[in-house]
Amino acid sequence: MTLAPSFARSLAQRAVTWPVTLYASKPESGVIDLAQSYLTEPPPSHVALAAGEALDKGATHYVDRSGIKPLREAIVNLYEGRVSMDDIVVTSGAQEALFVTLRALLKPGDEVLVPDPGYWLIADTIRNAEGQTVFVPTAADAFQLSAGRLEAHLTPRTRFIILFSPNPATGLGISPTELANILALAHQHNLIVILDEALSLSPQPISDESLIRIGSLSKHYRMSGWRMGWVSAKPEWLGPIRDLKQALSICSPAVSQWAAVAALTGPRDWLTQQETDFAVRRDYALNALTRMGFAPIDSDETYFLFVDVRSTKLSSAGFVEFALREVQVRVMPGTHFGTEGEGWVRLSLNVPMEQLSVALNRLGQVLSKRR
Amino acid sequence: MTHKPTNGTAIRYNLMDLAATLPDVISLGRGDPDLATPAHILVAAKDAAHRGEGARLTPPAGLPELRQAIADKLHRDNHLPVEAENILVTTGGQEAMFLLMQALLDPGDEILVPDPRYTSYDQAVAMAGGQLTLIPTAEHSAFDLDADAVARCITSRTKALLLVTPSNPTAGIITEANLRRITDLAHQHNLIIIADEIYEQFVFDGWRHLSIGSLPGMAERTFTLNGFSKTYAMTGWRVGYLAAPVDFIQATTRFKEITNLTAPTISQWAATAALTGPQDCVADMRATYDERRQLAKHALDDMDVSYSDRPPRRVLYLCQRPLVWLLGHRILLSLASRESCHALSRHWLWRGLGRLRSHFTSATEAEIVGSVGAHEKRIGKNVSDPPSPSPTPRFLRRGGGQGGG
Repeated sequence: MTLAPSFARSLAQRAVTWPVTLYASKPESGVIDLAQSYLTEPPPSHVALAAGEALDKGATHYVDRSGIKPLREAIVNLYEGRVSMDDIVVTSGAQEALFVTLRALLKPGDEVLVPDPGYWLIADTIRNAEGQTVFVPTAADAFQLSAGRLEAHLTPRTRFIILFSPNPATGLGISPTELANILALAHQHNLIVILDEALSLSPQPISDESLIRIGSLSKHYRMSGWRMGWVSAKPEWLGPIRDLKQALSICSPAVSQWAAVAALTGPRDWLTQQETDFAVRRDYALNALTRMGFAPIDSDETYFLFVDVRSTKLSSAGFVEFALREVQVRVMPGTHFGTEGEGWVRLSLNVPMEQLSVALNRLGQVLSKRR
Repeated sequence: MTHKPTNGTAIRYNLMDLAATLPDVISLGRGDPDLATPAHILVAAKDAAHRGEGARLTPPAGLPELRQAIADKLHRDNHLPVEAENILVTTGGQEAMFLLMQALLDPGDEILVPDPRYTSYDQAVAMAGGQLTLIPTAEHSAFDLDADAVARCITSRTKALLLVTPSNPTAGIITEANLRRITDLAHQHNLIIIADEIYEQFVFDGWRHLSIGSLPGMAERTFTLNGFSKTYAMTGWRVGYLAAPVDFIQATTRFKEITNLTAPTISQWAATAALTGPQDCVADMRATYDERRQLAKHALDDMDVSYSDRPPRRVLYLCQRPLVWLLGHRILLSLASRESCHALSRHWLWRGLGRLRSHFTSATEAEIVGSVGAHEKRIGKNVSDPPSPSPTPRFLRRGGGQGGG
């Protein structure tokens, strides 16, 4: 092995490994997959058509390292003008945005407050930037991250707060009121707040100097394979972020950026329909799960349901294994998102109603088998 | 933590940003072929998009079909003993370079790098905490890398030797004799060889590219870096790759998840088509660059400007040291007090070595002549006219009174 020892040590600290459910792995036949993170059916054809047209027009070259202008304009519109085009760098997905932001701005030993549960790769990303992750537990607060709870974890070395809205585990967004409280705390202690809205369809209507915003088209827009994300920050912070982005991957893929323009500026009726479909499934699932004695979190911000399975007396991992083996339903363990997710599992609403209904009936059997 | 671009890189970034704001700039500075990606590759990308592949991530090490196609190519064309599991697909060759340095170098480790060089390597090395040791290469030996010069630079902390052959920016290629002597050094001093072969296809006049990883005993200590940007004119797609021992690939793949999860799916399908489809397009591009190369040489000859063109240095880039010397004497010295020309001089005297690189990939035939002619005109004008204040480097402009013939 020729790895640098420090690199090998750092990798060895990786607690969480890439779940096969992240990419389009086909579950065994008969298994209903509620563990998906992504919507793996493509958006309407206008996205692929726009990509094809862009290729015909020669979008095969390097482009502006900040991203093509039409895409940055579309992103500005998404934020309703609350960010400026010059303050955006388009990245190869939201993970690259997080990576370059943290790596460009963190100093060794800086402490970063992140909610637990949260995003599975965040601690590894912070560690690579030589920062210290300080997990802020949220289970006792019904997974609502509050400014008060964050404040209790401040030290003189705290420099960043990372917020996920919605949270990838629980699906809960941060309310505008709480966000305002958190920003006030940030101002008071001179902290930078990174607001990761990769899972949001409509970013928070807020504008603040100490805010770095990250977004993505991987989730609601069904474009994970195109690798389209972005980061927006004030010039002082964006400068080093942009330089690092270029050092890492020069620019983001040209054809993906044109596909992204089409997705953001094209018809939106399919997105509305999609939200309606999720709402119908969510209501159905919430009712069914509650009737069965599982306690789900009620959040209408994304297409996940976070479900309390402690009544089965199984751990998260135990429940996942039991559900797959006994009733052929695949779900995500809450512990994938942090230790505070213990006793919980995450269900995706990304299956047709009939399948969802069958899956929920089967999960009901888990409960009866375990009682 | 070191993320600041090096001086050379910063100048390059600034010039690109500046050039983007000026009308009618002919850029001969960037390694971006002006040729289009071949049509059958576009068709494959569109097919993949319409199949809905854009809604799916590939596994982090890359699309299995692409990893296999890369392994087959390296086996067939470069005689490297690799399988699909030896391949990590990256978001361009640049990311491969970044990941490689992160995984390979501990703080204080030294890496030997032939100079002049592609300065993005400096940044990748610095970010890993490594130390760059420059090995000089020179025009009189056609920018070949002398194994004795390598040997002189090795210390107890030397971990790796970077070989960029054919070289960006000098266009030098490392001769087989030196490559073989370098393999001896690698064994003797337990060095990792990083072989950046991204320009492998653009070697002219009967010279052939040789992959050091194919030499006896080198497979386990050679990490080969390559991509699709230059060979298939695919810079905008962002697909590159790393070929290395399996344990290294597995570890680096876990790190790749942290930088950006995976390379873009549609681009990976396009790259798969590039490798598995007809290869005439590569020969066609090579012929086009060769024609332009001849054209530029004639133009420089007509201007009575000499340039480096010794065999075996026969690739895409052409160094024009004497031209820059000319500039140095006539423009840079006479306009030394001008801020705009200061920027110009630092760029054109890149790395203080005074070499202008003329890049054949990003201009049509007429534009090459035009840009070369434009430089000449400006030289003449500036010699006879006293300098006047100008907010932007004049060489970036064309047309008007600035030359442009």
